[in-house]
Amino acid sequence: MARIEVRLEEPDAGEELEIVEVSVALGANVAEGDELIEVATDKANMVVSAPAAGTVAELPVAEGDVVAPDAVLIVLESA
Amino acid sequence: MNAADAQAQGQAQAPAPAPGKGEPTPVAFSRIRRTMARRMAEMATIPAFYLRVDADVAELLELRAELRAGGAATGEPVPSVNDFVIAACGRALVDHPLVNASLGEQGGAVTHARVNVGCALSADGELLVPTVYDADAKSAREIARETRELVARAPRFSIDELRDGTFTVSNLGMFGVHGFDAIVNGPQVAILAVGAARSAGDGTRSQASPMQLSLGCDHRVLTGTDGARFLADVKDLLEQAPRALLEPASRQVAV
Repeated sequence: MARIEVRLEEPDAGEELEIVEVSVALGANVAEGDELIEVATDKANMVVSAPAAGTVAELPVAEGDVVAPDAVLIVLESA
Repeated sequence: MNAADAQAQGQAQAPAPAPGKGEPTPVAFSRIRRTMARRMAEMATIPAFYLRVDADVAELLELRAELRAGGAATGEPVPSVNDFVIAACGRALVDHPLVNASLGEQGGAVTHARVNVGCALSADGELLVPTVYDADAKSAREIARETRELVARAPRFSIDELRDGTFTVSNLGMFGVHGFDAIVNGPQVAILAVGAARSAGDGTRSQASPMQLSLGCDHRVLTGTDGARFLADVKDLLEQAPRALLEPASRQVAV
């Protein structure tokens, strides 16, 4: 089992992110490329997709949260 | 009846209005909109002037009608008037490097080797300006595919899709606005505001369809002559050779 920390990989996203929508639940199985979370930055909304297939092991953010631009948004465990 | 009597009578008939603005309702803006507000306040320091011309787009509208009739089967998007305007600006900017520029640090200007046209669009109440990179080399067809895709995704963009614009086009023609002036999108030095074509293209060549183009210019970099020459070229491209804009740009195409 590999643990994958998913962040918004966008160095110019600004000071903070607001979580707009969480599309998956804890324990869900996701495929590579599935949309996981939509975040609002100061410039645009961005969708964070799964970098690999896996299971949602940790979900440290909820809709409405404001987090740092490099915060871990979700943790996947890949088989 | 003297004036005092008239006033007294008026007061008797219409009591003084109750002052007040009613219950205030705060409107929370999104992050994107707050960024817009902050940036617009910064832009207020730009000494801008505006040049307005009408471009006759009768031939362009006729061409679009032809494309709609012929293109339904292919599924290819028919370029909007705005897609043609972006293509025309892209090509004209190549010959007007000072319009495709930013304000320099120590006075002067910095011209850009690439022509990247920002396309102002509104989505869910947000103003966003995604970039059509290398618009000088693209056909109106290619630009149409790109802008359709951008509009469909708005307000979801990557930062790369929003940066590095060297010029901006803003269009409110679809709302029937026949002309307006836009705030220069610094550090760019010029912006084109596009209105609606003022008579419906009915497929006859006899009827003119004037469409207002208003070019906003940062006077620290551009003179009226600089702006006027560029604007005349954009107008010519739209009026004289709309069909050429459908093909990828070739510097050899005669207009």
